[in-house]
Amino acid sequence: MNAPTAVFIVLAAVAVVSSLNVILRRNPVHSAIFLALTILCLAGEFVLLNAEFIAATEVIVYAGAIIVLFLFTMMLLDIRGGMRTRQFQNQFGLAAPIAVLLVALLGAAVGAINISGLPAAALSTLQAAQLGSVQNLGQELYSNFLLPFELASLVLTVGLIGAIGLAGHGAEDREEQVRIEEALEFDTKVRAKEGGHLEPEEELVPAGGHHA
Amino acid sequence: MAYMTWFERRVIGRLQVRLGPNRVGIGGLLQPLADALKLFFKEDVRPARADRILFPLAPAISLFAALAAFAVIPFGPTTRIAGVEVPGGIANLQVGLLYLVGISSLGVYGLVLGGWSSGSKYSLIGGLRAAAQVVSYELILGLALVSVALVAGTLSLEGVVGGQANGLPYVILQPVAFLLYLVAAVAETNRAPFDLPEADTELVAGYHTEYGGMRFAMFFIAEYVNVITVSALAATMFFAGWSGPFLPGPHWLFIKMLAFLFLFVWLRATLPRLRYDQLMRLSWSVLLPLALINLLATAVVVAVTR
Repeated sequence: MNAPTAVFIVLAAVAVVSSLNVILRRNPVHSAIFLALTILCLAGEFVLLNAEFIAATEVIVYAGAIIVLFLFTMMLLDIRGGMRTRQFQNQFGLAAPIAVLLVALLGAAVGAINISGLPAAALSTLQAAQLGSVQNLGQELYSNFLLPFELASLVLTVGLIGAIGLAGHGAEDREEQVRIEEALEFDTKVRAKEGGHLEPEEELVPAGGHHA
Repeated sequence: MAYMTWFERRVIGRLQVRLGPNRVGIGGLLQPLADALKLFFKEDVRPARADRILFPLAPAISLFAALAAFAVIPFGPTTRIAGVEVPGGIANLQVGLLYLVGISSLGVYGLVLGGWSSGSKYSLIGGLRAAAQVVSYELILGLALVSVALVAGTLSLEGVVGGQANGLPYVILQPVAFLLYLVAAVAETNRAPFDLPEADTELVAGYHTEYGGMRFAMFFIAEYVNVITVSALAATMFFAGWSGPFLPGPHWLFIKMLAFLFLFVWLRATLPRLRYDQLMRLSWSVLLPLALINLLATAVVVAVTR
């Protein structure tokens, strides 16, 4: 077994274990960290394939930006409360066929690739080293794969605008509603304390006063 | 690295018309060693509400990312010492620039996880601020570097230095990118006036409030290594790196780096901290459009002249 094969096996093993951890961990922050680890392993595999540019982009975009934003969102939520709730819903009936379908589709796609027939197999080491270079990738992306590339960016833009539209719609009304609810809640707490019904460890914080 | 702290404290002392640490050793030169010894012998405190795995992991991630990023900075040309080829840097990658941006973007995990896993509200707010700030300014940093890479026509840092050694330094060709880089670099390293994640007047100490001893020292070292890395990168990308007359390569890089380090300290001693909304507005409504326009203009000029 030569060195690249050994590195490949180690990276693949870590990737599989950590991606299992992504779905099996109870704490979503831990899941996110394992997702980042999986991404790093995949980036390592890309380096082994001489695709340094793709490896670097993968780390910058996924590990550096997207998962950080996941963490950012999760930090704003009450995770310790969420971990106590039931983690499994009764969606197995729907999820199982979709999962089987996905595995079948991916298996068919992988099986359809004729590895020995690929042009890469006939290349010399030097040519193979230049295959994943920035110049080659850019040329392919902007000539042979221009349409899918532009379509993908269009889909992403549509998704982004849609998300802003959904989130922005009526946000002010809702904010006002939350403020009224919090004020009412605070009021009841004060009354309860005056009446001596408040739990001793319950903290008395005015609405909007914390995390500001 | 440790002497960066001595340098900073002495320079700030001077700028504030006082002396700075000058008792331990000649001119206070042994002060960093004394500080390090003290930190080694401190009790390892862990808050009761802290996450058991992530709390000790966070400073390690910070330090790892900071040190790994420095690996691609070229110190000098490849030289022959006693018949052995000695490369002018720890590693020379084809995509060195992207590697640097990628690794430094991993550094934010240390801050975010440190803030979250401490189980303290000051740490949490510090971590949140760090995440938002670093992600915002990383865009500007990246766009500024991409403009330079377009002019250089390569993503390898050796190549960028080589391109400047025979012509003009890129600070003259890309003045806008240089200013953008400078602002974004200060924000990326969480230094004043962009030190909101650890704003001590508001958040005790931000994301590292609950850390003590060597764990705190790891965050501290990571910050200074990051400052040194962005200074070295500024010297490499905009001021021709190690190339210069008379002196050998590493000396030139060191002199240029030192100028940037002084600038960092000077900024900290001079400017007040920004407010959080000002910080975000500066990034998204001023610097980002400027960076995009600069990138577009550079691309057009490069395409026309090539």
